[in-house]
Amino acid sequence: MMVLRWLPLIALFIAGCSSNGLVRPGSVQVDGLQLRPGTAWTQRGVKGERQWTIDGPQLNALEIYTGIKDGDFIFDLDQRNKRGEGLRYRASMNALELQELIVAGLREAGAIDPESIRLAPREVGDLPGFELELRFANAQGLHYRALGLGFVADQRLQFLLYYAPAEYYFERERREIESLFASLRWTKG
Amino acid sequence: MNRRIVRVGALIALLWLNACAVAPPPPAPVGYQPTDVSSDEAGLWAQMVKIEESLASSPARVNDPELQRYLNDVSCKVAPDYCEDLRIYLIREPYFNAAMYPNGVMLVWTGLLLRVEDEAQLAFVLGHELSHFRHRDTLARWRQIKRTENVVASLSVAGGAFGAGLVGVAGAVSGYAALFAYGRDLERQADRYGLERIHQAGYDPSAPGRLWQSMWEEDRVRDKALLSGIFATHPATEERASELGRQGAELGPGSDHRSRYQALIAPWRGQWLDDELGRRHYAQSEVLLRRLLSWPEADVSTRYALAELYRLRAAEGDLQRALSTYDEVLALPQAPAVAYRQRAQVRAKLGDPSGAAADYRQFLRAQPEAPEQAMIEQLINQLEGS
Repeated sequence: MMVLRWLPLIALFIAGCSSNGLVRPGSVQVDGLQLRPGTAWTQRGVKGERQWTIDGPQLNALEIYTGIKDGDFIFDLDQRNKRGEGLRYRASMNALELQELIVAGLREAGAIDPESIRLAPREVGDLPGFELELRFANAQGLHYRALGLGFVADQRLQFLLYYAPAEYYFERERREIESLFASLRWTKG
Repeated sequence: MNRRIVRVGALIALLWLNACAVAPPPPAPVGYQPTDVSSDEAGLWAQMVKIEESLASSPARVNDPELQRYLNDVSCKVAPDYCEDLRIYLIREPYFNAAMYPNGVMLVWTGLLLRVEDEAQLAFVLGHELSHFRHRDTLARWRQIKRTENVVASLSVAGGAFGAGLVGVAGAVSGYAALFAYGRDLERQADRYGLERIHQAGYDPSAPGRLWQSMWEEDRVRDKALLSGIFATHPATEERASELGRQGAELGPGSDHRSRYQALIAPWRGQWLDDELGRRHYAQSEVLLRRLLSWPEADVSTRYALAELYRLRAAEGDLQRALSTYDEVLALPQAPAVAYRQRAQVRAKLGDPSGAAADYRQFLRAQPEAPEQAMIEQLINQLEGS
C-alpha cells in the first residue's frame, strides 16, 4: 500500500506504457507541446505523463507533464482525476506556490532533501512561465540536480522536469536541455 | 451494497487467514540469533542485514548524535535486557510510524517524534515494538505470508522500491513494514507488553492512552484515500485508546520526563512541521497543529505552520485566517523572514497589492540572495503596476 507513493515516478518504468520508442533529433510534437531535441532520446509513458531518457532514467530523465487541471495531483497520473487532499495543482497558484508544490511532490515521491536553488520568470513563446533549478538526493545518497520549466496554457499546467546525477550526467546534458527548453512552444488550442 | 460486499469479503478473508494460521515461534531470548543457516528465519535475517546496510548510510536517516543517543538511552531504559540487541534508526518521514524488523532493527519516523508528547509516550512505542521483536512476530507473519500470499510478488513490491532511482529508502522500508502488519491480537499483546515495560521503568502508564487518543483523533479526520503511515499497520481506534487508558490508570502514577523530551525535539520541530505540511493532509495536520499549539512548549514554528496550513489549503475563510496568523507570527521576535514572503502571497490574493509588495520587499531585504529573488521582483512589478 505504502509503495503507491512512489508510483508517480516509477509508473513509467512498468508495463502499460503506450507510446514507447525513439525520439529523433528535430521537431517533435508531444501532447500539445512542440520541442526540438538535438539528440536522440527514448520515450515511454502515456499522454499527460511521459518520460524521455538517453542513458536510462536513473542517469538522466526528462519528465513531461501536460494538461494538469485545477485540482489534479501534480505528479501522479493515476490520482489526477480523484478529488480530496494531497499535492494538487490549483489554477490560482503563482510560480512561488508551484515551486513549493514541485518540491513537496519530489519529497513525497521519495527524493531526499529536495531544494529549489533558483526560480525565475521565463516565457514559453508568448506565454508567461517559470524556470527552476533543484537539487536532491536519492535513497543511496546519490546527489541529483534538476531543471524545470513550467507554464499555464489552456488553463492547464504544462511542466517539464529534467533530472540527472549531479556528477557528470547533469552537466553533460545541460546544454541539450537548455536548448530543448528554448525550443518549447505550446501548439494545442 | 458496497458495505455488504466488504463485510462478506472481510469474513472470507478472516476465515482463510485463520485456516492458514501458523503456530507462533517461541520468544527470542536475549542475544538471540538464528543458528540454523538453512532456516527461513536465517534467510529473513540475511535480507534485513542488507536493508540495514542501506539504512545506515542513507541520507533519509537523521544522523544526529544527540537524538540517536537519546533514543538509545530510552530504549535501554525500557528494555535493559535487550539493550544490546536493538538498533534504532531515525528516518526522516512525516508519517507517524515505527517498525521492528526481526534482526533487532527498529525504525522510528520523525512524524512519530513530532506527535509524541513526552518521553513516557516514546518509551511506550519502543516497548510496543520490542514486543514484536521478543515474540518474533515478524517471523510468524513472514511464515503466514509464505503460506497465504504470493511471496515473490510481495517482496518485489516491497524490495523493488530500492531499484528505482528517486525512491527514498523509506519506500523500501515502508514496503517491508507493510509486509509485517500484525493482527489485532498481536497488537494488543504488544500494547500490554509495552505498558508493562514502561511501568517497570518508572514511566507514567497513562501516557500511552493519551497518545492513542490523539492518534485516533487524527485518524478520524484524515483523508482515507491518502497514505496513512501507522494507521495502515497499527489501527488507531477509540477502543484501543480507551483500553490503554484503562489499563494505564490501573497501574498508577509514573514520570513522563516531558521537559527533557520537549527540549530535545524543539530544534527539529520546524523542519518536521514543514515535512508534515508537505504531505498536504490538511485535516489531519490541522488536528495535530491545534494539539501542538495547546502545549506549553508551543513555539513560533508551530504557529507559523498553522498559518502555512491555512494558506496552502485556501478553503473558504482560510486566507483571512492565514493573514491573521502570519500577523501573529511576525509580531514575535523569532519570526522567520519567510513569513513575509508567505504573507505577501496571501495579501495579493486578498486584493491588497501594495501590502503584498511591501511584504515581498521586506523578505528580499532579509534574504537578498533568495533563490526566488528574480521571480519575486517580477511579482513586485506586477503588484505595483496593478
